[in-house]
Amino acid sequence: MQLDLVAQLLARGLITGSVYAMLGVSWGIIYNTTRTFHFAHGLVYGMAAYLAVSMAALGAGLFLSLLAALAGSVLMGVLMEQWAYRPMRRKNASQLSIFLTAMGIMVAGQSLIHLFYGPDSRPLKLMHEKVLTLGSMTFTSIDLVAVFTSWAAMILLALFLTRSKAGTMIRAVASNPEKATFIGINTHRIFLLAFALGSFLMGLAAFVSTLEMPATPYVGIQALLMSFITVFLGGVGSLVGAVLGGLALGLLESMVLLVLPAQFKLVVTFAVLFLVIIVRPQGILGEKTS
Amino acid sequence: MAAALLETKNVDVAYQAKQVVFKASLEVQEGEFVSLIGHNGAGKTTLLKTICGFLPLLGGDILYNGRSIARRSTEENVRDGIVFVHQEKSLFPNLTVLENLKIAAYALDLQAELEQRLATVYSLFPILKERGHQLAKTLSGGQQKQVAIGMAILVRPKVLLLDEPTLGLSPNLVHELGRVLREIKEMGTSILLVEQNVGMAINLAERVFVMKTGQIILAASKQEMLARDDLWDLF
Amino acid sequence: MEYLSHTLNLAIIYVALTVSLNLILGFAGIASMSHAAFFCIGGYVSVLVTMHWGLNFAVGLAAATVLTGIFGGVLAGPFIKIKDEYVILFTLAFQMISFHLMLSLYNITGGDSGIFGVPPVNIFGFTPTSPTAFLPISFLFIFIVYYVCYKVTRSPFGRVLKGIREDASAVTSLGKSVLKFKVLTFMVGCGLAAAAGSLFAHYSQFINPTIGHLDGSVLLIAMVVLGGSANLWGSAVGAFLLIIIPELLTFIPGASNLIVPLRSFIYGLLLILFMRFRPEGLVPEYLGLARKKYRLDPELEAAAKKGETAELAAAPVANEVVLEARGLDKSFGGLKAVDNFSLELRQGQITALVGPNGCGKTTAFNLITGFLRPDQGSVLLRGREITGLTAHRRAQVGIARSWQDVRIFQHMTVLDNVLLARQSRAGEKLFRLFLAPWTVGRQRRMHHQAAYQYLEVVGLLDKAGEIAKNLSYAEQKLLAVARLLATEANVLLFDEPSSGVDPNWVQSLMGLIRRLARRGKTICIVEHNLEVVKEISDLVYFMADGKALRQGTAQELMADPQLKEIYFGV
Repeated sequence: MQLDLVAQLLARGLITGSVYAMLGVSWGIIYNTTRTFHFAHGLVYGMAAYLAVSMAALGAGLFLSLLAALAGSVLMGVLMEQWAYRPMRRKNASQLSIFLTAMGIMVAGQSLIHLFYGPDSRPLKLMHEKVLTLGSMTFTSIDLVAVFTSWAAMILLALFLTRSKAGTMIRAVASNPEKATFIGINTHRIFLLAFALGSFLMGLAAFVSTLEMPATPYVGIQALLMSFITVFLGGVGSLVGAVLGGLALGLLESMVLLVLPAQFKLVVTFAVLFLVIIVRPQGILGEKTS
Repeated sequence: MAAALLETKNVDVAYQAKQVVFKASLEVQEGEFVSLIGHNGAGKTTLLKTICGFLPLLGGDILYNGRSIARRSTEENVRDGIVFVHQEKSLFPNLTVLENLKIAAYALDLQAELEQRLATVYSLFPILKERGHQLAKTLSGGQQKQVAIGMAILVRPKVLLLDEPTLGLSPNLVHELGRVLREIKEMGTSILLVEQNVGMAINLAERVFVMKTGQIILAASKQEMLARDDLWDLF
Repeated sequence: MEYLSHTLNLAIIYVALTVSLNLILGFAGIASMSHAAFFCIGGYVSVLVTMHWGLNFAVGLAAATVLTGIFGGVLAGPFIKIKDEYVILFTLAFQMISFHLMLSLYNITGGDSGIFGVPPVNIFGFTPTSPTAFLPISFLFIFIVYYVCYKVTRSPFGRVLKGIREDASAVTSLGKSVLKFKVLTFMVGCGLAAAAGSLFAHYSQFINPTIGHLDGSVLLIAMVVLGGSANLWGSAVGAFLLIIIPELLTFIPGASNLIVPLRSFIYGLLLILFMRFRPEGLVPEYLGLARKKYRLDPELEAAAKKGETAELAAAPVANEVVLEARGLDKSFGGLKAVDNFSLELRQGQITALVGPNGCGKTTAFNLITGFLRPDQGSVLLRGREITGLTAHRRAQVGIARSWQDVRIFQHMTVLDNVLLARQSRAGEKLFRLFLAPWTVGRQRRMHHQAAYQYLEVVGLLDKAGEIAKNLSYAEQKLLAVARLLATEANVLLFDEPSSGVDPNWVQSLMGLIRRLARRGKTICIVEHNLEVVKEISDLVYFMADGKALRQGTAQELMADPQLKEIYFGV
């Protein structure tokens, strides 16, 4: 019995962990490249979810809704960089000021969603949900889709970053931004690209998650918190770290249920973050910077 | 004398209230090797960074091929053949050696000639070919220098601005580097070298400028410099 | 009427919260995301203390303030020295833990439904029965909060905070522990938030965890930013506006269920707009600073002009070893920057460190001043081992350094720059600031007098009232010297004193340094301009590869062909 429960929680942890890993990578690619504490990343999630919901309500199918969500996400990410962060950076604004701006965007944006769509939750019913069992583990077909999508997206991103010209440039800017300028890389364009990629993944995460869990106006904040906790757990500067951080977080969240009631889930998550910052501020895989 | 390839005219540079370069004028002819020496903090690096467009001018002008480039961005200058190499952190530590070299070409859309240009770099620094798939940060200090200079050579600059390339290198590596710099010059690249190793700087150069507390106090040919025995007074 | 009074009471509590957050965020520069959590914790501490033991409100209030303050301080210890991002993350994590824990521990907190029947405010038997009757208490409360914040920020303590905001390393070099000041300020801020929480709970006679939600912390940050960071009046303005605007919304007919999102929309939008177009807020920190000119105290000015300080004039020059470094080693990632380095500094002498670039001069300098820890070896001051002392402690025992890029406090007056360098001021200690104001007052005059005199020594007395950034670079260098002298340190280390100063000024600066040596100071300079070294140093250490290769007079060393080869490569 206990073993069955462990297996079930393990499966749940890996499913959630896969999505968290994607969230982490989405925030990580933006943070590693641009060093922007992109608190408004959660808004991308919320907007993507509601865009998909609206499209579905208009009668669009799975593919079209997904497309709208992704396009909307990328556009939002890029616009935030272009209109909000870039002007601040040019004024040599502090990290704190940029963070506060991002927070303003997050707060205002979420309220806008609330104003337009009302407080009630909106489901996205585009996929038939089938319950599957594997030994003592149960999960749904949508869970499988989420896991598959997350890993596929992360692998494609890894290929893009290592094999393509633009991907190499992103890694170059993350590795040494000043040198990048000196060899003639247009860092502004690379920043935009990082925002586009990160927002794309965030939109994708929003879409697959909303298939299962209805959207609410404030759904983005949760995704946001998970996305950057994952990065700081795994280690700033390392996307592999973000993936591990995401998996660890997913597993932790579900394994905690073995010993504590469900309402302590978030407490434990943040307590772990708290401890990691004290004990190992550079995260699991991060490099120590002087 | 023909018009210089690169010329600074009464350049002033400041970091906020602190002016560090005062009315600095120097010129580099096509294919010439020029060294800029002087005590630390004299403003040499600042002048280089200003030439390549990374720092704004407070006053004066910079001419390249007879046209003012005082307001151009670093990116434009690189595309036009003015390449700067930092004294440290002049590569991408988390990229492999090959990626480091390739990215220099990518940035300027030079993929077409990549192989050929890589060959040039490898002929100067054979070790880089062997270490191609190693992360740059795992290389020794001397090899990292080679990567940095290799990246610059790859784009076939007209003028190479080198900031203390010998810093932290052992004497035989310094010697080796001197040989390579001479080869680069033979390939037709003009070099403006800022160097603490005064002996090397003078030996390599055709002309030498000396900077002191932000001013250029002396311009001399290599022979004139070698004949002087009052080096301490110039610093 | 009651509605208005009620709104006013709430607004006042928010003003208190905003002012206390401004202390943390604006004055101490700590990006705290958990202010609402401390507000809520304070409320609960007070409620539990009063209800569990049947104690008076005043006891609850005191317990909330003190316990939460101490708790905040203990919590703040480990994170306050790390980077902004991590401070945000850390406080955010605390905010989330605190909120969800309170929600989950319903045995203690009542969970979502909270605790009803909280005893009302009772002051000496007086219990206000209506919001209007409560107003005097609110005003008394805000007055006290303001008084505390005013004292903390407009005092020598506050001057140090301001210094930290501008340049924390410079403050460390003047003998102040940045960490201590930040943690103390965080404690005071959290304590005040807790007091507000206590008042709020007893006023509403109800408490639940909702007031400790992240949204509350975000709202408070918006209030601070909108009002003006590091300006107490600004916080009042910010809090009032952000309370009043949404209250006005309630008068829009048919909008009642949109108020919550509309309100947050406005907060968010204002935050964006202000950060972008007016980051200094409605009431900026430097309001009127440019116009106001500090007027010198004529008596002190006359005294300063008559003669330099007794200490400076009369110190005997004994030529004994004051500071000694023995066998210092320091490596960075396998690279030996300083290798078995030893040096002696003698009183009244100027000792220079020279050597080619990368020879380890700066590292040696940092090892002596405590900004780096040696891997091996020791530093002794008058024979006493000080290797274990941190940088600010070393400044306190009399080893002070200057910075290559001056690092004066640009937005302070010249006089304030010098005053900040004074040691062991009562006014920089919170307890004495509140409990022994007479000592603080007495010392004030003494420190001002000293500051005037040191400004006169460097020749900047007539600029005492200027904002430091308006000085020329050479004057800023002089100010840095005055600041160094004001620490009363006997060992002075100058990092590249001539750099960035145009040639005409170098002479007078060097003359000043020589005068200081003649008056008994022990001086060490790191300098690249060899002409300067030749001119003012009594003894030169020539460094190469992290070692002190040779020592002697500048002339001796420059005559050595081997050193010439090392220095120039020829």
